[in-house]
Amino acid sequence: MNELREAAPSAGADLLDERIRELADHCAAMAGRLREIGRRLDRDPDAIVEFLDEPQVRFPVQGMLPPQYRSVGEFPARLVEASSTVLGQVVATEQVSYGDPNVLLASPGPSLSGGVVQALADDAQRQRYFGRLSAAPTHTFFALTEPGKGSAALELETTLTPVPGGGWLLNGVKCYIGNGARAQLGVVFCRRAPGPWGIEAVLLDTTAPGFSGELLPTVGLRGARISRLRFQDVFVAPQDLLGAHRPPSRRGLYGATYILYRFRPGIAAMAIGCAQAACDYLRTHRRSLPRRDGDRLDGIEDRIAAVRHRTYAVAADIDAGTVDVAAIGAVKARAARVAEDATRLVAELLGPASLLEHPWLEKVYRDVRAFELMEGTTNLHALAVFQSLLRGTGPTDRPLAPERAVDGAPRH
Amino acid sequence: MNRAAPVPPPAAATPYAFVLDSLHGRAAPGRLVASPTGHVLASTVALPGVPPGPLTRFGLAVTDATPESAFGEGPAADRFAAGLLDAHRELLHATLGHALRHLEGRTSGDTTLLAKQLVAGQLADIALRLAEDAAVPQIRRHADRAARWRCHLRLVGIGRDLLRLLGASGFLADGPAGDLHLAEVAGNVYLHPDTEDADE
Repeated sequence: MNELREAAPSAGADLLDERIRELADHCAAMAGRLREIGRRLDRDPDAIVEFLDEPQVRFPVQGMLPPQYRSVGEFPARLVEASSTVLGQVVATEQVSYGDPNVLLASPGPSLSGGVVQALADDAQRQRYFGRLSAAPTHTFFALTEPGKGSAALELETTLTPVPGGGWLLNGVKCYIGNGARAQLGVVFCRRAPGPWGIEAVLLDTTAPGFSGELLPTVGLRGARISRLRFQDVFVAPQDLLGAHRPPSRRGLYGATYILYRFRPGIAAMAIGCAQAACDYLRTHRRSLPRRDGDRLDGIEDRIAAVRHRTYAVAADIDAGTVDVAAIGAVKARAARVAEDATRLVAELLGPASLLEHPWLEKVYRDVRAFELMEGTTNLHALAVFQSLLRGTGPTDRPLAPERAVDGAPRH
Repeated sequence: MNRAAPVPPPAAATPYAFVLDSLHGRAAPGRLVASPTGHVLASTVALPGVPPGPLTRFGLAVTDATPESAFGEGPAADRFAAGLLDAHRELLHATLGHALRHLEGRTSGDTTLLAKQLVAGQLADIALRLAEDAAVPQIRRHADRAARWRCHLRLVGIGRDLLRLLGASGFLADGPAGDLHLAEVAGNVYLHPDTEDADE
């Protein structure tokens, strides 16, 4: 794994603070082992259970847990704390994904649903959810997307209908849900009444009668265990309705958008990590490239550096309380595209049969295509960018202030 | 051994691995065509007993050429390379048809995704690029390996754009995405021009 470490990108970030840089280095050191585990997961995604005690698997989810539920003494507290911010999560995710994004996605832990619980739940619900996660490895899911509607939260058709004596029945189908079929616990978005404030988020135990899940065969990123979920008269008790103590405008749909915006830069970070890893892989295996090919690779790395720069910036903005929806979607879309372009270029420049002779490349070549589809396609985000252009706040109008510049140059 | 085992005849929605078998049969009857790198790609039916690899779940087996393979430059290799590009193009046409049906069935607000101007324009662009590719004169398309590789790259680009329009379903291995991945791999193996000067 020396070759991998030598090629690992600097987290880079001139203006990331010392603690975040230390976090990046900490995660970069895991890349070699994560790549080994990721290779195994591509063959058998459920093999993650064999690696649950490894620090490379356990660390990345710590920052997603509320402080009282984190592992005590196992990892440097300052690094776990650093990874709990959006920027910290982005920087850590990029480095972890440089190793392999499958491991993070395959690991038990809170996923997006944990963010919803943190944002909406009352104390008892938080204890139920996070207490269970800290007691035993628990896979969770975040079920928003539906077969006919995609991730359009306002249009979802899964229903929550009241039953005499209290509670509701949940009916509907969710599609393309990460870890859905192997999860023990999850959050389902559903419609209790017409209109945006009629959308609710409910906590669901997958042992509930009427719940079923099936795995969907994906081209890549198999660790994510993308699934289709069906709910047929699943009983939802009043205590399972997340945020019942809040007004309708501050639960359900609010919870979905709140967490999607905060996690979306993390998808960009996964794509950036993979793209950089592909470029570094090429430089490792082809120490010298003809000038024209070197220029093409440099062009891809320019784009990676740019999208990394912007991703760090939107993450820092979120931590500072500014949620620029168009900018967040834009970095996710552009990172996904550059990851595809990087892997295609590397496959080309490594020569004939590179996709057979370099199995890791063939794997990442498949994996990165998932990032286009996760949390909204490019077309969806392009429309948000267009709307921001109309408002005069488009991406070209918002250069980074020098003091926030980020140098993500790779270390060669 | 690279003799071809009997395989089912190709049909309308034939999985790409079987399309590949059919190409072998047409290019070099009774044998399997090896790539310039000495690899042979065929269905797991045509190559039973090949150890499983990452492409096995897509129905594709990968093995080394044997003396019985149709190997190197020559008419069989040329026919096979031309067939690969034709098969890729046919797959894209089928995927375009699939995308039209899929997007007609997806709704956003009170309209189908197919009726969205952005989507309609992208589909039209894909159709135009496919037509343009088909119009490249044969003498240019098959001038040499570099010409075929350029064609392959064009087709890969069209395929990726099509799959993006399919949303998450464009990532399912049992749909067009799985077959298009195999078409990309096959091109990488059989059509990539040698880059001997790369390390100079």
